[in-house]
Amino acid sequence: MDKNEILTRVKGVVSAVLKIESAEISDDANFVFDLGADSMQSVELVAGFEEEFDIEMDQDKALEVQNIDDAVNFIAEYV
Amino acid sequence: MKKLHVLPILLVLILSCGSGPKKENTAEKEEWIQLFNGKDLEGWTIKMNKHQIDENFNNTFRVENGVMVTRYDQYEAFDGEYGHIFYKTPFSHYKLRVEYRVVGEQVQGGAGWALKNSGVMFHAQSPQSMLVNQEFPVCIEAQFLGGLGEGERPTGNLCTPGTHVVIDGELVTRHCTTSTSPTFHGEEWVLFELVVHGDSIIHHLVNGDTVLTYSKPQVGGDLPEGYPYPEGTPITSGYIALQAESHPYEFRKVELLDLSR
Repeated sequence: MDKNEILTRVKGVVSAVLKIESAEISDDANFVFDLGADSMQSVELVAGFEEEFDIEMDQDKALEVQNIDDAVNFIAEYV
Repeated sequence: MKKLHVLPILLVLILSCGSGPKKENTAEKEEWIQLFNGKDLEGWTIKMNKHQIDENFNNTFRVENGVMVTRYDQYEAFDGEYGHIFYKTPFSHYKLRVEYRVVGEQVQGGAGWALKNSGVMFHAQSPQSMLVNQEFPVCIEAQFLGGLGEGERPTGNLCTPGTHVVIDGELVTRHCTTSTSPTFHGEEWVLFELVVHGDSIIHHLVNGDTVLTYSKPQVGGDLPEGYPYPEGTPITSGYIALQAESHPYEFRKVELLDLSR
């Protein structure tokens, strides 16, 4: 799976969890500062990524990921 | 002779079928989002200095008679509780209309500069990312000033907490830039409009006239602890917030046309 596909699917998950239009989510958007994710939503995002990509991530490391770009790179290690 | 008469008629027909109806259809397709529903604060998140998110200290933000208002009748004195009420989602390219007015008297303890002073913040950091002790979000502010009874005090000015912009090709690092708007001394309603194109050009309009234009909003100046972006980072989008700075204001319309779709 190439990173462009991962990016598109990551934005889809973020859009669904945070209820923000995909068009408003930039490739380097910070989950908290730019997209308003609170702690509960951060956990939901990790769960959403795991379901979307059918993977199990290291939860602690996953919650340290702060932006879309980093999420794409992080998920790329699992798929 | 007949051909000479037919040509102008054809031209009129072509023009009337082409340009006229298209303009009407475009206008009909404009779908303005009512950010304020005229009933309650649904869809908005409050963050006030010295308080946790969602804590509406002293009921500062409320809806009265279908109008969103800021009030200080439950304060003994203002003590730096600068407040912002954020719409729930960020935007990047849009037109925003706000009808506002300044009313009543400033609460005791308010700063001199905050007299008849409010504004709409945009391209703002999320309320969730603000520190408990943070007076203003990193953002661009279109400032709503009221006149003081004499002298000029324009509204629709630009202020830049944690940001810079470019005006006439020059990076502007001063905190505020005055618009060319008239001064409104009384409690009349003022129509303020923003036209925002991501990190490109931005216009301020007051009662239909363009009063300020600038471009390239970017991170710059004093930043809160932990803010993740370095100076010079373009700001492409962000949250929209209305401000409470110790003087009562009213907002009867807050609507947005999303230009990103």
